[in-house]
Formats: sequence, C-alpha cells, structure tokens
Amino acid sequence: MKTFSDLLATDVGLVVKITHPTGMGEVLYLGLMDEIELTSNTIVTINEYEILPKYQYLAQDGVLIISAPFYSWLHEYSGQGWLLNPS
Amino acid sequence: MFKDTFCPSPWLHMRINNSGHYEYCRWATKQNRTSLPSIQNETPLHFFKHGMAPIRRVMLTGEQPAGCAECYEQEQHGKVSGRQRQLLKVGVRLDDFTNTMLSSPWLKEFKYSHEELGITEQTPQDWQIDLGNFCNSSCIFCNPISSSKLATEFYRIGLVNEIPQASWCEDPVKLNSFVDALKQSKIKYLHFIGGETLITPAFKQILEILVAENLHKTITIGFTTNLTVWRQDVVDLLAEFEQINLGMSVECIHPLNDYVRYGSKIDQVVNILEQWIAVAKQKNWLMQLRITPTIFTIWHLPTIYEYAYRHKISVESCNFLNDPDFMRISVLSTSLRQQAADRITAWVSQYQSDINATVLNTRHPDFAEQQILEDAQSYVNYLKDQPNESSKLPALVDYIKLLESSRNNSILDYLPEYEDLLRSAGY
Repeated sequence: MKTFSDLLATDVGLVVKITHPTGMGEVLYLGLMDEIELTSNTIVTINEYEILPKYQYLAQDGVLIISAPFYSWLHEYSGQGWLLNPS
Repeated sequence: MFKDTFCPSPWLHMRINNSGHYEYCRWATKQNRTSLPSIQNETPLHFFKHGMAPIRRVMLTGEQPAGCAECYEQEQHGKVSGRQRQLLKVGVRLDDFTNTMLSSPWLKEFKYSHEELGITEQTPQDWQIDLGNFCNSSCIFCNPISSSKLATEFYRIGLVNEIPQASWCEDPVKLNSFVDALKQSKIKYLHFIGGETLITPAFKQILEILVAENLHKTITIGFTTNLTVWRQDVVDLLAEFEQINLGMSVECIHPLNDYVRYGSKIDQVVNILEQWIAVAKQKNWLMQLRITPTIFTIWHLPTIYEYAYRHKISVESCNFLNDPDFMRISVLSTSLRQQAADRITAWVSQYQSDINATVLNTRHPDFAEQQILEDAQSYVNYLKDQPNESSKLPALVDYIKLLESSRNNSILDYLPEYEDLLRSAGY
C-alpha cells in the first residue's frame, strides 16, 4: 500500500472469535462499522485483541455491547487518550 | 509504504514560532523558519487551510516529507515519535494501520483533502505557540531565538551580529489576530513554549484572555517551564483550566545540569520540581519531565529516569537532538558510547519491562513506568546504531571553550569522565 488511494481500495473487516462456555468455537466476520453484541460469559477476541474476559466489567445484564466503530471503542477502553473528532 | 510516512498532524495541528511565522508541525525540522508566511501578513486559519495544503497532499501521496525526518529517525530507534502521537489522536495505530485508518473519525476529512488538492475545512485543534525568547537561562544547546539571555551572551562574545527581534506576541495587533483565530477554532490543546513561559508576559496575558472568553473550560493548556522560577499568580490562573499538561525541563539530577542548563542550580531546580509535583498531584494535572539529551547529559541520563520512575512521571523529548549538530549524542566516541549505553542498560535492567508492550499514550500516568523504560531503551538503541559523528568533536570543543571563557567554568569540573575525549579534540 503506497498511497491513500491504495488504502481506500483495501478490503478489511472484523474477525470475531468466540469460545462458548461449552468449549464450542465460533467465528463471525463483520464490517468495521458494525455494532457488536457479546454474551459476557464467553471468551472473545476481535482481530486478535482480547475482549472477553478482559472487558467483562463493562457488560450489563450479561451482555457487552461494543458501539461502532469497534476501533474507537477499543481506543477509549484501552486507555489510548484523546480521540479527537473533526469539527 | 504509506503507513511508514503518513501523519494526520496537518489536519489538526499547526505552530506559530517565536518570530510569528507559521510552521506545519512542532516536530518538523527547523530550517528556513522565517521563510514561511507569518501572522504579520496572513491569518492563522488561512495558512492552516491553504498554506498547509501542500504538506497534506504530500502525506496522501505517500511521500516522505523532508521536514519530517526527525520523527522517522525516532521510530527507527524505537522511540515514540510525534507522528505516532498524532496518529493516536485520530485513533490510528501503526501496528494495525489499515483497520484503524479506515475506522478513524477523520477518514472523510482525509478523503476531502484528497479530492480538494490538500485543502481542509477543518480548523486546528492542537496548536503550539512559541511565545518568544524571554529567558533567564542560557542552556548550551539552545539558541538566541529561544533565549534572550543567550542572545545577549552570543552578541557579546561575537557568535551573532544582531539580537533577535521582539516576540510577535508583544504586538497587540498580532496577538488579537491570534485570539480571533482561537475563537473561530475548535481548540482542544494549546501548548506554549518560550523562552521561559512563566516570565513571558504574553503567557499570562493569553491565559487571562482565554479565561475571559470562557474558553478555559474546554481547552487543555500545555506548557514547559525551566524550573528556575515560581509564579504563584500564574499557577493560580492555570488552576482555572479544564486540564494542564505540565512539562518540566531538566537534563539530569546531577550538578552537570547546572553546566548544561546554565543559570540554574540543581538543588533549586529539584526544590521547584517538587513544588510543581505537589501542585500537579493536587490538581490532577498531567506531568512530564522534558529532556534534551546531548553528548554530555547522556552520561547521567539514568538519574532522570530513576527520578521519574520513583515519582511515576513520564519522560519526553521532542527528538534525538539534531541542532547544534556537534552536540548530538552520536558525536561521542565509540568507547564512551558503549559505556553510556551500558549505564542506561544497567538502570533499565533493575526493573521489569513488558517487552511486548509499546506505550503510545505516553502521558497516561498509569503507563509511566513502562514508558520510561521504553524511552531509556530508545537511547540505548540510538547509542548502538546511530552512525558515528565524532568528526564533529573539534567544533564542539571550539564552542564550549568560547562559552566557558565567557562563563568562567569548565566541563571537566562536571564531567571528568570525558577528559581524554575532549583533550583529544583540542580542549
């Protein structure tokens, strides 16, 4: 990828890997801008980032809702500081 | 590779330098600093929108701007660069560049500039304001544009032919133009440097204007002080702001600091440092120790890291010192470079570092200890890998001999370990 145009032409997404309490695994393929709802008693990684149980404390009534986009959510909860928004 | 060169800074940041000229970045290489438009003849927002369009175009085409060399150099040695800090502010990480870029809230702004030849409809959110050269110190690595005291000394000993002009912010018309731009912008962060900010009249004046305009509730103020003065009236004013990022300049906790930051006394510096730390803890301000390691202070750099580690304060430097070139760490001889690297490595090895972590949010107090260890390691990497520049030693010796004749001191009283090296170059 050499330029901004190349970046825009890149096809990417979220790979959500879920391991259920039963031990059964599941893989979901989502878009970067999708909202994600997870059951908090699972083990989850998204694009290789650990999400559950790491962020279990954010779950309510056994459900963790990750607002879109995922990477802005991750920025906030992994302590990356300011995320500026355009005016 | 696009990810190795792209920086979002020109979409959110600009700088006004000491002479009132605009620059596109606080970290950009400082050459031809008076050739760009100034607040004298162009409004800051016009420069931001149109004057910075070329650098935005360069960023989007994946070229490596010459002025950005210092950031690329830092990354090469494992030091967190200004580019990485700015990328983080738009949600982008180099270790997951494509996904984070395409998720960034700024993506549509980059697209807009891509289609509009670099122009942006944004206003700066992060400004660096250089307030001029009012200064009571004359650090040996500084220059007359940033220190009035050094300017006077340089003029007296013949190193310069003229004293720099007064700061742009002493002119009420220019100051008003700046304040107007602030009011029209979505400012998040203003960082002030001097000279010494606390003794610069415009610093207090601008803070008072921001409070009067009710901007203090939304703006974070960053500033750097040289730890030689205390101004309670300014501290009280700062306390009114939403957030403060406090930068405290010190090179080492050792008398060598007095030689390098000439005009300071290390005991007094530490006292004032502790006074600031107490205020910052009480007010919940962010703190950093700001260092400018040179060929001299690299030797006692572990003293700073130790102090910072004990107090959980992050350590930050703008770059690996480039100018003056004869004061770069890479001018050190091979043997002393190895010894300096060993000293830092010995300090780092006392502590447990997470080798898999890279702290990008370098100002987060929870990450301070890891950040300090990583910063220390970047200097070890630099000492080991940066090409040798010891051919510049004679120029260094000529320079310090001239300064010492004016100051009646000697580096050997502070750094006897360098005697053989300096003597070999004519000291």
